[in-house]
Amino acid sequence: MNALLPKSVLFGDLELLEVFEYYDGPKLFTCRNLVGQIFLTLWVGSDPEAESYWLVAISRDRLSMVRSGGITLVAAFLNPELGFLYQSIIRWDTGGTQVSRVLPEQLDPGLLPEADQSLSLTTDTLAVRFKDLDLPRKAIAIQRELIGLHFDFPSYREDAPTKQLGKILVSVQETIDALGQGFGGNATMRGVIPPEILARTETRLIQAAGGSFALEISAAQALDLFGGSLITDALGELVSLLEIGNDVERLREKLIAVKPRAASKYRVFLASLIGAETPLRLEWASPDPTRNKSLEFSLATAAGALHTAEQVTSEVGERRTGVGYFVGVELPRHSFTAILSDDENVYRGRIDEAAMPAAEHITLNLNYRITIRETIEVTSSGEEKLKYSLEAIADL
Amino acid sequence: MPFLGYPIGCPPVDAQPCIGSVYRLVAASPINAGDFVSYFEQQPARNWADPCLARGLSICITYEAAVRLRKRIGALRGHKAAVAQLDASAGVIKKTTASPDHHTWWRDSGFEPVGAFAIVAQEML
Repeated sequence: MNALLPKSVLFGDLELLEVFEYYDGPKLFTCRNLVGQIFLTLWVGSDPEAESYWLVAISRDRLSMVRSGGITLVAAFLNPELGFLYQSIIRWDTGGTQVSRVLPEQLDPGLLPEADQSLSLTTDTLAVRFKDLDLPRKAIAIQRELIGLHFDFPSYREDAPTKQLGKILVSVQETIDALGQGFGGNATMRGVIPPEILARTETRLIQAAGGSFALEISAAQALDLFGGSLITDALGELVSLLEIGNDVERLREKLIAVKPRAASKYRVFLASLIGAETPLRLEWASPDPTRNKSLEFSLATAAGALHTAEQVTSEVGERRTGVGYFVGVELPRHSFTAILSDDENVYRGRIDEAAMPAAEHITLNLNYRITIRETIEVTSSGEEKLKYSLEAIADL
Repeated sequence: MPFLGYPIGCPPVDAQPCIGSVYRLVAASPINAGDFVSYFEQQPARNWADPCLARGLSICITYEAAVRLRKRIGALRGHKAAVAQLDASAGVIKKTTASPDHHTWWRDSGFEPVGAFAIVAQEML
């Protein structure tokens, strides 16, 4: 690159680092002096005798924000971290440089970048690179399951929206918990998962690393003496679900097999990925390397899988049959309100078409044998709501 | 001699014929020869770090890139974007920076750019 870089006793010799705008020569660029100080530099004109530049000393943090568009170009020059800039005039013939300190308010506004101009370059902002973490080796060393979750959030920096990332992480943990409960032998649809299960499926966020925005997550507990653990099984099931992707038949079969709570939690996880507009790359590193897996899960796959999961979770649910009575029935709206005697819970919902003939003869406050199907509905914001349908009514 | 006075190996062997619409910022209307003077032509005695690049002229392959450049570099704010429909007789171009829209153009010695370029219509409003 042909740049007339200033030489000055104020900052020493400079070398060109990165050119952001080039026009017959570098016009907006960074350069660095011998001690590593970086300057964002703007060409501000030339005449037959000399070229002129403004140089603003810039920290690495500030440079990351400028490169990635978090700080506009004009702000970088008008709000220098040191409070001043250098104006440099370099003679063409001798290379002789005249440098002076200038304050932002002394700059000619007509020579500054326009107010809306920002760079938009993908920028490494995290200190650690994910590829340097070497999860397979570490999983063996610490005898814990490790997963690397790589996201690609819409950002030029290696950062993540806290709310959306929080939802994804909660849904991942709850999916693992629910899958673990299934392996524990008693997959319930609602209620608290026993603490002894949760302790065995708990994960810990270890660190964030760059490359994409990646998180290293570790099982809280080490493998047992037999080289297995509940979380190993649960992670295996989660990876299976992701590997199935949006193969509709296989996914239906799998979601039915893992039971409604896990299916619902997986559905929330899919919705949270879509809500955050990020694909996922998952790396599973296990103390048993034969289990190691790496997979890609695109947003399109997530959308398809979510559609399938919505269908499955609305069809499959838990049936509750017991003695109870109706406190409200609105036949035109196909709605009912009933109380089951064994739990005294109030159930409100929709009367199935098949139950309508019997519903027409309901007497309020009279006991019947009632069958209610309970399903989990996931709202667009990812919240879960229990939904009830009246499947059958029989006289006692 | 299409590239009279150019050093050996210049333009680069992988530069391609300059075919299609290209944009260049010009200082004034009407366009004049001063708008197509390379750094090397301005300062031939200088010891250029890359003498071949110094002989080239920057062009943008989209109008948007030319406008963006003008918005970012205040010293170019008064310039106007000019467009030309070039063919192989104009010389060769090569992408020489990270920007996909910027190319360096090594003008054929026999090519006369002033008549080939015209100020973009919307710049005349």
